[in-house]
Amino acid sequence: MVAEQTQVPEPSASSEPLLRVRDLTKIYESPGQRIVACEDVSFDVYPGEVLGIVGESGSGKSTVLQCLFQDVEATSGQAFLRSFEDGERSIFDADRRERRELRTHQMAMVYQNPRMGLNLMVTAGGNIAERLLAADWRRVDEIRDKASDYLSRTEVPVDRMDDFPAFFSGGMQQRVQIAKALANNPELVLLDELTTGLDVSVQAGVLDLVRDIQRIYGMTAVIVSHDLGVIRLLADRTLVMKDGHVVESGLTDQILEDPQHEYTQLLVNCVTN
Amino acid sequence: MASATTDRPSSSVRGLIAERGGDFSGYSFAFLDDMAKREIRRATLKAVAIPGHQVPFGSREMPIARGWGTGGLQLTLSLVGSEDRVKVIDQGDDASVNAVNLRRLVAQMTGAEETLDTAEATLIQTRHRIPEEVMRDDQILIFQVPIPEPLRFIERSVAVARGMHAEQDYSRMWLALYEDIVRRGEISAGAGYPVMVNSRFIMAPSPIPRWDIPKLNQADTLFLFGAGREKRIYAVPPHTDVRPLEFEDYAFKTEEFDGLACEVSGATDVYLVESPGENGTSRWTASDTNYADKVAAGIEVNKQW
Amino acid sequence: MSAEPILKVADLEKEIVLHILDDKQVAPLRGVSFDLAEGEFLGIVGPSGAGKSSLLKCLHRTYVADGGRAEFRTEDGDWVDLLSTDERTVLDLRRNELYYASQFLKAPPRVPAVDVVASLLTARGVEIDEARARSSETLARLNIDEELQSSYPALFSGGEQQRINVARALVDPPRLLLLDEPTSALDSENRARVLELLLEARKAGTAMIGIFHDIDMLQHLADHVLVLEDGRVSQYGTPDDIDLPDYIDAAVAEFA
Repeated sequence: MVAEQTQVPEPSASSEPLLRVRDLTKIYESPGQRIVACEDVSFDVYPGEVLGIVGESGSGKSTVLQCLFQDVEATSGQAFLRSFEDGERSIFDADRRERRELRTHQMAMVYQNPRMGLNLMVTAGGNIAERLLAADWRRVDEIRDKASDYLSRTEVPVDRMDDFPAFFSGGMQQRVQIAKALANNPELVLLDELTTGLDVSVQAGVLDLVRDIQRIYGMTAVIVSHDLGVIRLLADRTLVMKDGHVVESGLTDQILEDPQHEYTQLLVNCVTN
Repeated sequence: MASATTDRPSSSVRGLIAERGGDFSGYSFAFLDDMAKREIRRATLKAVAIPGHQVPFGSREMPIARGWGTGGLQLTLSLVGSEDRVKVIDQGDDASVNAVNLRRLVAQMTGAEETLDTAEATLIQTRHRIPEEVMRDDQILIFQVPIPEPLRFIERSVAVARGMHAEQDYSRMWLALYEDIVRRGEISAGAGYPVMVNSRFIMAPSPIPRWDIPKLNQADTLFLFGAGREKRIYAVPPHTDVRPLEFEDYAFKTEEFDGLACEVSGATDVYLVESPGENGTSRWTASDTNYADKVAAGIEVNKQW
Repeated sequence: MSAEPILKVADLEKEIVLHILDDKQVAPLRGVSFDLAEGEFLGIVGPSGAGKSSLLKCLHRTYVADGGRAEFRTEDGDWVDLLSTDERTVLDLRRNELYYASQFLKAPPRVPAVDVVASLLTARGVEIDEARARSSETLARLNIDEELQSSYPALFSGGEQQRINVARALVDPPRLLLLDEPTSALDSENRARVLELLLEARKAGTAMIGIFHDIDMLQHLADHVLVLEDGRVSQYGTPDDIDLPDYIDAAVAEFA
């Protein structure tokens, strides 16, 4: 009953985008205040590719992810996911039940703060089980096999499966969060500043992990970071955001070596010089 | 409960009875006024139409304390007619103080006949048991429910829980069962084991033992559930699928009483309860006292639910 | 040479506008044109700052060109303009048909040398075990022993890093190879090994554009040499037609 396709999508220029985002806008409005978090953001993500979004804090890059995962409601704009209604209806028009399906089956989010993505009152294995249970897995042994599989993929010792992540280190919590995100083989994984809160030595391990998973399993992902090093390591293509707008987009090596926009030049030179 | 005296104000059933010399002519038939009964019946019809779904209703102030069966009592009073034969059991026992009081109240407010015989009753109000004797399609079983929300233990917010029911978003419930198995090696819920009704709603069956859970499935009888404090009515209509939540490799199991038999009836295939015997020993008897009495008297009882 | 053309570059222009330096403009390429055939090696020479690397980077799309065309004939027989085709196509070509080997290795951190090379093959669909075996073989031919192969390239010497880079370029030779001084830090023995691999690749049909400061290399490899001066093609011909030491000595002097 539970068949899992371990498909490594063969990236190809002719394939259709897996995600199309059009004119995504999020405005926070309260009496006397109007904050444009992001405005008219448009991009495509293709199967098997990692799209980077880089920018400083407040550039709106995390807002884009939050809107896509529907943690916050977009003010306007559309986002089409290939597997949702054949990409003909925006995921922003999904009803509550469809949204939940999107969040537990088609998409996954890895948050900067593991507390956002993990239930710390539930065991590490249980956190992964949650997504499997949502997909109607009903055998405990199979669920535990799968959970161990994901935990070992993310290099979490399997003998800690029945411990509570509240007692794990930050790096280990982040690994559990990634394991959880991979459960159910979501089509699209959203990664929000996944190494920002971690010690430098731990950051490296988490980045290597994501890179390996991407390489081995052909994960399609959008990764948001203020760190060009993270983007350089993981992203094929990159958007540069400033003040809620995309100021430049291109191949990641082009963004880093031949930035066109004044802001990007500043950003790149801050790092390399 | 302390016994009331005649000079006490009419704050208890006994007080009422004594004050009026058993005359209830000033009261509506079945205590509740007509509009109240209608409102409860409307909620009941809706509950029957959506098996397992909790329907809010305007729970009334009753002459018993909340938590003592006001939900069940309001259901009973909204349905009972003077031709009915009413049975009330408390954990299977017709003779408990609360059961006796409720039964008398219903009878005296309506002229309905009191009975202890499961087969004879048209309406049975129950706390925490389903009779051993199989019930028919011309009978109704009314459950007293303390906590109607099966998701209460995993989600404190009523609004969120209702959203989860609406979307059939039960993965956290399943997760709680998974965690239970991880920690205890089994699903530890004893009384009130959660069930899936009509493949749609997870329902709290009220704190009946696991023993009774299979009886809910595809029964001939209408099951009604009333939670007075929480102001909810829900139902399992006849011939409805009711399945305990279980994993394929951790199947639901009922209680086992290996080697024990009821001391009254000698029956071994009944739900037994333990009470202190003489000299520190244990005494095991069927919790369904009417069943035990019938079997002891040599009456054949069909218990093939 | 009767081989099929694979690349036609016409009027390639590149300006670099540095906003952070008061919009200072640098103009490395001012209309560069040439053709390249399958299995042909084109050597690029010229003084430092002439735009040699910029030319390769524009073809690789690491740089955004400002004008001109660079029509590349893909394996499928379609002509695509490397300067303007969509990013997805560029990524796809880079994965399968186009490789840029720079002077400095840009290997991901904490990946053993053999996997730095093998990842290129696995991205092309080769099974990991086979990819490692082939990578190991190529590395061995470049004098990278087993022990080094399992170490992280970040700890390697410049010459060792360059050989990892060459191994990536040649483990499965692409249809078009862009070589940006990939042997600058190698001794003569290792240069000879690289040369051997390059000759094999050329024989197998790989078209190459290479920047070398090594006359021997160019004379052995180059079918044609293009001299770039101040962003323009000043000479084009066979290695014999051009007085190579004029350009290379100057460049080496500047480089040193």
